[in-house]
Amino acid sequence: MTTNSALLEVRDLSVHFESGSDRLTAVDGVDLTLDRGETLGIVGESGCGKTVLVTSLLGLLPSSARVTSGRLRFRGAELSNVSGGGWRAIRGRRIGMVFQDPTTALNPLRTIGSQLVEAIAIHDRAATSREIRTRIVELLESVGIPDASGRLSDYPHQWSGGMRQRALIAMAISNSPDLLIADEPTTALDVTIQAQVLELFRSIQKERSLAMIFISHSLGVVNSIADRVSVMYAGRIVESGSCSDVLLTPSHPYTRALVDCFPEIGRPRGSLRAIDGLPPRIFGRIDGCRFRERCEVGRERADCIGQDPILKVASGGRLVACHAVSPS
Amino acid sequence: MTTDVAVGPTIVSVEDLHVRYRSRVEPTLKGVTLSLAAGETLGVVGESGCGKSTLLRSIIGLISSDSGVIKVLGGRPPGLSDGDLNERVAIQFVHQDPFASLNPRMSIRQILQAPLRVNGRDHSTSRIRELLDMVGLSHSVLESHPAHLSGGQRQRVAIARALSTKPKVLLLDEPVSALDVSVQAQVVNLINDLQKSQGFSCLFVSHDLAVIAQVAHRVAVMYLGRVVEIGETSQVLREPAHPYTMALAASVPRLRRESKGESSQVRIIGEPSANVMATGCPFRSRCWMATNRCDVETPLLDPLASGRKVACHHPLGR
Repeated sequence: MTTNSALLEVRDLSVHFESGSDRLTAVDGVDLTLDRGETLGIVGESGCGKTVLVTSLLGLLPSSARVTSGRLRFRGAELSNVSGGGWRAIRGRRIGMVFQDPTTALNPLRTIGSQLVEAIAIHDRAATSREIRTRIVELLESVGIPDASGRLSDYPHQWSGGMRQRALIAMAISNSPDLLIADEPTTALDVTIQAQVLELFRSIQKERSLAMIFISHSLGVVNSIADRVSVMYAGRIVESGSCSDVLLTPSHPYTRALVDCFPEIGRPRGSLRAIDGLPPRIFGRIDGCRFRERCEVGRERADCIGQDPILKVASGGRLVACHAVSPS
Repeated sequence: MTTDVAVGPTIVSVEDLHVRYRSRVEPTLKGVTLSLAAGETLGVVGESGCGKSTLLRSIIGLISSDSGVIKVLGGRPPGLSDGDLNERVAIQFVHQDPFASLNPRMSIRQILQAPLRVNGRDHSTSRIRELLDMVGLSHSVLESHPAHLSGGQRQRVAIARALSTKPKVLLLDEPVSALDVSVQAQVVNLINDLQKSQGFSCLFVSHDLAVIAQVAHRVAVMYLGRVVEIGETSQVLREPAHPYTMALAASVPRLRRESKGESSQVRIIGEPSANVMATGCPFRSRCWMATNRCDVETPLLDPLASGRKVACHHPLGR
């Protein structure tokens, strides 16, 4: 075990979906390292593989998915061969998760209190119901639900979207996990509530020195929460580095295009530059760069047509997978 | 600073509009006044529950108002019961969710033909192809069903359908908030380009000021059923006069952050509460500048020197 102190290490992870004779590549040879207390943002368009990537870290891949290569190490132990029962000791306990839609993530027929009780009791058989109740009230108040003890018997529909997402964050951190995975947790919220929930994630992260993986399609959201960012395209990480490097001086043409189409206050009206077309779906082997069809630089370049670029160290120590970017 | 649009005649005007849903105690719109000029895009921004969608639905006649005057093209808006189709085709709607707004059992051809057929217009294949070209869709989608299209493609179909009757006014209710950032930019640019070439007016509703800034010549900021600030978009964003506008702008995530983690930006706490106090400023419970006067006196939408209007006793930048 020479894995220094990384909390999570993913090496060469590939996930495919199979239906009949078709084999769709969702994640293709992804490496990730996450230290304790660090926040990694993952950005990319719908279908780029970001959700499949984190789902595989939770052992929640659908049965049609196959992990075709890769190793996962978490807290120094191998996760690749963990069984279904083994996952239950990790998921919700060591790795917490928050999903996009706070409405569908809660059972509408059960009170919020009972759903929180379940999340704790399942991992802590020794706790008495009184202890659990005290913990829940403390948790809810720590995520900004005032007068929590009087609201445990509320049903989800009685809470606003922002409050429900706070409850789900409370649930995710209820067993003091080492890693929190959040998949578009603010996308369904108003911008004002989004700002408040992001603030909450930041304060929780700092207080508990949690490691976080934060997925979003919004560069601004990732920038406001993450230390490092990985940009995914068609199953690959194409650029990875500190937020300030990658988002303010993007190297990969795809990252640059994402920045150009990001609406930011202060940009004049009508100044967005859209990326034409859609990301490809990868069936079988692929030659050349998968962004080539939409790329302004490499559409005609011989190396971009013939050779799939791999991640190389570029300016500022970031990693970039592009033939047109000179390595440093 | 001048807008890059020639301000034409008023095409939609709303005066002191009040709407209350029967199931609610508190009115949803409490005296909204605004107007839309020919060829202009007016952005309407605010949080969930501020009444922005209700405003659009009132203008198109889907909701009847309790009091107030709405005029579309100088006349009263088309009611659902009166069949003044000439007026109704002059004003069209694009909804937020392109997964729900297109009939899943109809082909794209049928979806685009429907409004033309109903209104006795040319619904030949060549006309439908023209519509597809206009929104940048390939003719190959003609016989596809919505399920085969991406979210961005569906929203293009919805825009083509709305523009098929050559309306004077397009009402857009959060048309890009269900889309990916890259597709969002495509659709925003498409709407801007089409407006330039066809000259219709837009009322564009969004909760995101950054999106509004990309489309709107002017912006109206709504809070709990009232317009609290209205003016030229660039000016309102550069120097917001209402604290709420400033807070909304500060909530939008940015690529350039002042300092990591915490920032000096204003942040509003809590959520808008509709169980409000009959008098006073509706924003005062979340406002960092509120004084005793805000507790007792409801601020009116008054013009500032710059030509903009704001409903605040203590407007910023004074």
